[in-house]
Amino acid sequence: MIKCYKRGGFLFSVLILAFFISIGLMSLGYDSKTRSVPLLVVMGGIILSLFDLVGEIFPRFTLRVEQNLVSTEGIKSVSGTKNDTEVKKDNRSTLIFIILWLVIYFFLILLVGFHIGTVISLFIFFKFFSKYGWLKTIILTIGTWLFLYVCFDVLLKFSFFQGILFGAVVVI
Amino acid sequence: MPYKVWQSPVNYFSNYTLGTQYICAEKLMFHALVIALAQLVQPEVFFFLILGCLIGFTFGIMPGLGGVQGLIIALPFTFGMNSLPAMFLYAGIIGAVPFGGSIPAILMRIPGTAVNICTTFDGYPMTQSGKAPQALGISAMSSMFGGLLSILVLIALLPVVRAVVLAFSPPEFFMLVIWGLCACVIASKGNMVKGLISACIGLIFSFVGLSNVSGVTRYSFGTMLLWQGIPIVPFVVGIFGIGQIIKLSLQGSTQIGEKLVINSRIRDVLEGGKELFKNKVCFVRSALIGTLIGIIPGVGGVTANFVSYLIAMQISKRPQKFGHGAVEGLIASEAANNAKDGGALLTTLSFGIPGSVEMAILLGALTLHGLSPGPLLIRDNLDVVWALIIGLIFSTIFASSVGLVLASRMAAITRIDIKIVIPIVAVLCFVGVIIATDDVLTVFLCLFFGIFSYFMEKFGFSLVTLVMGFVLGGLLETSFHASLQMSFGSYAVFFNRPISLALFCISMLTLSLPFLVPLVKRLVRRQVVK
Repeated sequence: MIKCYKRGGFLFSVLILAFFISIGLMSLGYDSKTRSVPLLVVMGGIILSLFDLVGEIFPRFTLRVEQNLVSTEGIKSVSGTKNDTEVKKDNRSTLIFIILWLVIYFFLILLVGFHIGTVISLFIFFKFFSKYGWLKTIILTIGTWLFLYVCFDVLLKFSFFQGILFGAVVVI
Repeated sequence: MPYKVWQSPVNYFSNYTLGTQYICAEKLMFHALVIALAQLVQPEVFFFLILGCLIGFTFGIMPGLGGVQGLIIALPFTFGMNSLPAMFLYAGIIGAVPFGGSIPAILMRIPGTAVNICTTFDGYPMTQSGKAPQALGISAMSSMFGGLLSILVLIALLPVVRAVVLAFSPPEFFMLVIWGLCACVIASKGNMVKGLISACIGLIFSFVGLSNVSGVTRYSFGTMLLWQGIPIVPFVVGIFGIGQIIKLSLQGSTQIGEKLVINSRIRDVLEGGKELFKNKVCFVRSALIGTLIGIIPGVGGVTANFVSYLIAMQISKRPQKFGHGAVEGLIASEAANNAKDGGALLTTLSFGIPGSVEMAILLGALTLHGLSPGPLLIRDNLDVVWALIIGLIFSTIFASSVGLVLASRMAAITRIDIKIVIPIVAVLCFVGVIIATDDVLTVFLCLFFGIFSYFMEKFGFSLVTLVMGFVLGGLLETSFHASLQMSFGSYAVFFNRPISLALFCISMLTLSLPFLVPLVKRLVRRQVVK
């Protein structure tokens, strides 16, 4: 019986429940005025998350709360075949690459500053994700950077973060 | 630049001087209109409006990207700009997206944005039967007049709403927020429980940082980053910018569109345009549906698109033609998706409650320029309101007329390799966040919300309700406490005022709709069988 749930959805629902519980526990440390509304929301969130968890374990239960006011039943008959742009089945390695790339980009900005960080991360993306040749990669990287530099540094006179390695300070 | 944190209009309740506002309301409206129009005459401002239209048009055409991403990308470029030219830029983007999205929907059966899904049903069959120019003509005219009609409604209602908003006090605002969240949960397809959970998570995120009520810092983990709360720009950019980038990168295909050559003669296009006048009733009905749905907080264009199409199909004398190139279907879809902007702008500007996701981004943009949407905006910055309205009128006309001429050439945009677009959009998202907050660490927040939103969407949680919860959280809390202060701690204040009680009843009715609608359908079916 318990095997009918989807592991990812179940784990995510557990995480959401844990989030609400931890926020609820943190709220108890504040005075009554500060915590009153957050606690109300947390209580609602915990009850709903428990419902959701039950729904993840027993999918039939969720059907009772499935709603689609704008019924597309009539439309299905006229819409024809499946949409071309529909997202294909998740590719786990691509997902890991894109998330890692975004995280690395953030840390590069922190360490070496916006400009150098942008050039490095764009190069990584074009070369290893898009798999372009050297010339196309370099042209796209430098072109994008130059556009950003002219727009923001030259025209808008905005000075970007210089990077911890170059003496910039970050207050966490 | 200081942090731009979302501030609720309730902060300013104490400053209300209701009587004086009524006296010279009309004079003020006219004066503000003149200021906004005078701005438009300046070449620099006009350039930004045209630029906005082009950005909106391009983002509308590109499948996977839409008005939300267009606005996100434009955010950093408005840094240092005066608020009025910036508003013209934003309005240009918002007004041009729906027609831009209809071009690939008609020519290639690829909806440029989600609000163009129904356009593919009848637009593409028309292209297949060699009527692409006519279909584009119908789409352009429906988009243009649909948008204009909704703006007319907006202009007509603005003075009324202005008076209503000023008559609203904290209990009414509290109930309005509750209704907004309920409407949003109901409008999002799927599991209602997940929708409500999303709203709760959004509300919790809005409570992070310095409390407006007690002055205590909450849930900040002792960091300076969260001390003032989560700024709206990294939040929305993360959810709709970074989240979309992750989704696009998983899409697989590198080029979405195919090479397309369409010889559109102006006579054919105009012939298509004439169809609108032959189907006046369908057009007016669809535009009004779009406007009305736009007014409902958080519901947005997709619902407007589907509802309008379904009603057109049910009322039509030839429903069998729908899906095979029905002119009425195309008119219904395009008139509604453009008309929703006028309606959405009404609630966004007057109540500070976003009518759609684009409007939530617009709220962030307004705070970036030191403006507070809601009662204060229509009281103190009417010129900004007019700038948005004029910008929307212009962009609707510009996109439909210029876009029509360039339609087949602009469709080539869909052939841009998505692997070039992804990193550039990511970089611009980060730039937007850095410029809006002047703090590099907020990029981390943006990243966190981007990844979080990807998984939320994957597991069926609604992102629109998450954002609505976040945007409305501050207003909910401050109006709740202000109401209790008004009533010396009595909760009866929410129920013994007519508007507040009415809004409460509407909220309950809205939440019970998914259970009531099938019940009514069953009863009707039984009656028919009998």
